Amino acid sequence: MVDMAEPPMREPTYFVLAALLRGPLHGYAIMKRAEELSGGRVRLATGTLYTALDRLTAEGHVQLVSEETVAGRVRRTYGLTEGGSAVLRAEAVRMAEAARLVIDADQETKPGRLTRKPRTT
Amino acid sequence: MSELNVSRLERHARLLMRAYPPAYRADRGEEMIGTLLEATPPGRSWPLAYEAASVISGGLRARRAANLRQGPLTSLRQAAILCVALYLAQFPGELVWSLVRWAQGGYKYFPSYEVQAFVLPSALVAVIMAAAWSGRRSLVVVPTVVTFAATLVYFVVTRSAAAGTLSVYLVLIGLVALAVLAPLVTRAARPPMSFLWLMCLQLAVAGLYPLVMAAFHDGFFALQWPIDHLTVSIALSNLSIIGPYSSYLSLIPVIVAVCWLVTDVRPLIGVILASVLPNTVVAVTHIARGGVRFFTGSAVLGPTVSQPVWPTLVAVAVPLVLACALVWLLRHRTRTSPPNPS
Repeated sequence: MVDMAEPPMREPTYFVLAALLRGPLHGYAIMKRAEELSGGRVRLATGTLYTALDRLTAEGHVQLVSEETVAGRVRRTYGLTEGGSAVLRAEAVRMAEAARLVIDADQETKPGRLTRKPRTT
Repeated sequence: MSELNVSRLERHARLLMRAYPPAYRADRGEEMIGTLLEATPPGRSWPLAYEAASVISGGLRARRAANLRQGPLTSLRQAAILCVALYLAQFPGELVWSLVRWAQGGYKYFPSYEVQAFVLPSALVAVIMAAAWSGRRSLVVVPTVVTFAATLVYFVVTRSAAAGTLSVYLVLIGLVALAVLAPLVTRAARPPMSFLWLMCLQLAVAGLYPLVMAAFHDGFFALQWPIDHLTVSIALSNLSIIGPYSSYLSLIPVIVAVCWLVTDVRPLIGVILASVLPNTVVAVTHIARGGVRFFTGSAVLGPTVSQPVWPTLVAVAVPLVLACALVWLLRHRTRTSPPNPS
């Protein structure tokens, strides 16, 4: 059953968390990874990314992992916390359940299309 | 990418980052500039349009979040300063407009009567504001009270016809007093110098004022025209009171937007101060003027004997209702906005 108590996560937030699933990344790398994971659909802009990072850090879903100086500028690397990982997986399950509602209904209305019996001739 | 382009790009990126509050820039500024430079294709001297838009909108969100974290008294003081700046904005404009009209032969004398009435209190208010920023704030109370009393005495005792001017100055001086007294109560630090950009806004508005007035007189100023004619028709013979007030009415949406997004002011306090306080003072002034005329017997001599009080009350009630509706909308929006996605 899809949980309706919590509002659905916004797509940019989902892909920011998903980008960090395989390990910590810095700001620009998160933007590139999110674009890659979404097939080019989610193009995070700098302002949007840092607004999301501020919020996710405050909520304890993302944490600062390391800080280094590159070309005279601070470069921070962010990683998923256990809480962030759990929230991301819960959202993935919620979306999968929501998708299953439609797919199951589709199968029920068009049984011949997906459960066609093999020809015996 | 050439070094020249990089330095220009960085300069433009820093310019965009000014949308964020200073404290945020100190923490995140360099990191964000680095990301912005990486995200910009080689050869460009400006970030991409959607990147620039996201930085500006992120900056405004950060400012709004900072506004909501600060205390009500600090917000009250800064809202008062904002209102003073907005009020003062029209006076240099009046001066320039008066000069233009005089040059065109519209006025026989320069400065005009209205400008003369504005000059001294404007100068006093400016001095008080400067002292509030730079000097010992407790000393500012004295000139504030003296200016308030002197303005009141001049207009009421001499029974000047410029009651609208009196209303404006009573509002102004009350706002300055609020701006000055709030930190005395809270022992808060004086406003940051970066807040002085409001004065630049004031000068910019003043510079545009003659153009706006010229457009209005030519019948092209579509927004101002119905507002003025509506309030004038409601106010009947009370033009001297409603005149300054009606142009202020059209500023209310600007004030709301500025309070909400750009300044260090809680919108609730900004809206109440900007709309309710001036109207209350206008009403009190109108009623007091009627009282003075009644008790001194001058009312029976002039054509203003039938001047009713109710138009002013209506003119006060309308923006009051509008302000309440705006505040309700802002609160409702805050309550019903979806919680941060997690």
